[in-house]
This record gives sequence, structure tokens and C-alpha cells, in this order.
Amino acid sequence: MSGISDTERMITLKTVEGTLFDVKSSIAKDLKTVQAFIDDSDDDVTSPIPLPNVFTRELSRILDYLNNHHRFRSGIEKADEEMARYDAEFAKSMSHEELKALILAANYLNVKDLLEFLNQTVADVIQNKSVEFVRNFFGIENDYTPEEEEKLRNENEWAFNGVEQD
Amino acid sequence: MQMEAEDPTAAVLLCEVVVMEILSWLPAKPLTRLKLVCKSWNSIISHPHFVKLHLHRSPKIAILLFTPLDEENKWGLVFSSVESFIQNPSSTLDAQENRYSLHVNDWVVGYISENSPCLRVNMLNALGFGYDESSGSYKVLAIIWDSSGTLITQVYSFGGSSWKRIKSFPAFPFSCQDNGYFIGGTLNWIALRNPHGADYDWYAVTLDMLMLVSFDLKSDTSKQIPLPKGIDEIPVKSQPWEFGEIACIFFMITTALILLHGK
Repeated sequence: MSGISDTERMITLKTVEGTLFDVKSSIAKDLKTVQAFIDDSDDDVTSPIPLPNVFTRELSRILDYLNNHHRFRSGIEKADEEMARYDAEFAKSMSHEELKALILAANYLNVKDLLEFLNQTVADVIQNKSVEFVRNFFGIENDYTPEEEEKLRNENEWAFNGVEQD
Repeated sequence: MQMEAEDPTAAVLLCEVVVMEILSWLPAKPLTRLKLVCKSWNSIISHPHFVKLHLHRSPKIAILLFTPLDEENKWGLVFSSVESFIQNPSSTLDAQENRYSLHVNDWVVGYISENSPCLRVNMLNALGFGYDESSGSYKVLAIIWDSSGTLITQVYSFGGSSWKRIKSFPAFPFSCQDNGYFIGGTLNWIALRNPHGADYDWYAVTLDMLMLVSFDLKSDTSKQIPLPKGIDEIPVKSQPWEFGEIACIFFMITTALILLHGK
């Protein structure tokens, strides 16, 4: 009868570096991987949940994003504008490496809205860039022979107008 | 109980699912370029599952295909993804009862039915395609001769259910190969004033019968613009050129290059 309600319950998460984060269970619900883990556990989870693939920098950003979005959504007027401004700043504050690292973490933790936002952000970054830039960005090696590449490029010549120089 | 760790060597690359998600937000042009990144990206982009995901993203990435449906001069609109037509320009249209399905390489990319916004035409004079920023929609403009020889102009807005007949053009586009030049929210043609019907005598056309017609996609209205002074020959070739906010149409005639300020 005098139990703590769900929204007040805190979950503790531990990053690769061993940093502990206390997270409200309402926020933890957005970390679907964590939530699934909690749901699957037989007993109440009391000890810190270790996240073997998530670093402090990423978890900190993710929680920041989620906390802010929860705040924006809690019925204040004009939240859309503020949220859009926050999102723009959030995206701008990261280097390309940090962006990729965050996508990895958000993907692992299955944070749907954030992941969608990050994916769109990356799409915006690469939209007008050259093929070489995109390879570097994703760390991909070209496995075409020069002949194959030339053939493919010729077949799709129209698509190569207006590309930004690296 | 421990949460599973992923293979640390896999962390360097974003997994295929994530790559697919990112790519699905891109319009067709960059997407086509990125087939050159590597062979596996080529497969991803060409895969039917990805095509479907991409199509799902946004109607703005899709195209309208204005295609003949059957023998009776009936034309219809098919909603399809640019992707499928980039990869497979050949396609077949199958009729099943009242539905026509457009097949590209065996997977269906679009449907039109008897109820879809079809247009019956005797003679399609010109077709224009453009984008209206104010409403965020694509529009198709069809200029048609009806059976009594009258010029009719119809506009279709992507997402709508029917063609809208609008106050007709003051003239008809005389270079029928043109699909109109889309500049700054308007579609533009060189046109012939006071058309006497479909069978006009080309050799009787004089310069004063010609003008520019500009169709505004936002208001669905057209206006005439006289040709600039100084042209003394009928323009044989014209080319649009856009630079930021200023749009121009170059008219190349045999002896001189005339620059027309379009907006």
C-alpha cells in the first residue's frame, strides 16, 4: 500500500567506464533494451545494470536528450519551437565521430525517437557530399574495381551534378 | 543476469539496418550516387525491401507517372518511387478488373484504379510538372484539346482526388516537346496567341503571335508575358537557367543570345 509508484522508481545504469547513472523509470522506458531487460528479470532489479557497449559520453547525451524531450512534452505551450531549437543545437554540438558513436549507442539501447532524429541528421550531412566523403564517414572500403566503378558512374551520370567538393 | 555485449570489432561500422535507415531519408539523386560507395550499398539500395522503406518515408521522394492506360487515350497517374524507375526503366502495366498495377521487375510499385484521377484526352498538347512550395505539393498541368477544338487546362495536385479545370491558358505552348520550364514556382512556355485550333499553319506564325505564358503553381493562374523587344526571329531553342532567386530563360536564336529575366 505504501509502495513507491512506478514513476518515482530509479534505475541505476553503469557504463563501460564504470560511471553510474540514476535514471527515473519513466525515462528508462525509452531505453527499450534496458526496459526489456528489466521486464525479463525475475526479481526486481536493484543492482546497477551494466551496459557493456555504452560509454559515459554517449549515455550522458542520450539521457540529456530524453530528459529534455520529456520536459518539452509535459504540456507546456510553445514546446515545439523550443524542442526544435534544442534538437538543432544538440545535433550541431557533435562532431561526425561523436554522431556515429551516439547512433551506435542509441541503436544498442533502442531509443527510437532519438535514433530517427540522428539518422535524419546524418542523412542531411551526407546528402550533397561525394562518394569518397561518404566512404570515409562510414569507414567503408571501396570494393569496386576501377572499371566497375567507371561503368556504374557512367550509367548514373545524371546523379553526379551539383555535388559538393570535398 | 548480464546484458549481452556486442562483438567489439563490429562497433567500428554502423550496421546494415542503421545504414538502411539513414539512406531511407535521402532523395533519389544522392541515393543513386551512393550506389558507388561499395557493392553492399549497391545491393542495399537496389533491394525491394529498401525501395519500400524509402517509398514509405515521404511522398515528396516519390514521383507521379503520367502514363497511358489503354487504347482509348486515357491517361492516368501512378504513384511510384523514383528509385524503381531509376533502376528499371522498363515496366509493365497490367490490368486486373478495374485496377491497373504497375510492375517494375516483378514487384508492384503502384496502383491506379478506375477511381483514380484519370484524364481522358483526345490530344495532349503539353504537360508541365512542378512543385509548389507554399502548399508543399507537386502539381501536374495538362493542356489538352478537347473534341470541339477548345483548349482546356487541367491541374492535378499530388495527393488530391481529381483534376481541377482552370481558367484556360491565353495561348497554347507551341513547342510541344517542352514540358514547360519550371522556375521559381512557375511553369513557363513559349506560346502562341489566339490559337485557331489544333491545326494551325506553322508557316503563318509571326513573332507578334508569340509570347511567354507563365503558370503560377501556387494560385493556379496563368499570365502572359510579352517577348522582349529586340528579338526579330522566332526562337528556335531555349534553355532555362536558374541562379538562386533569379531565374532566367535564355533564348538562343540564330544570330543572338537574348537574356530574359523570368522573375
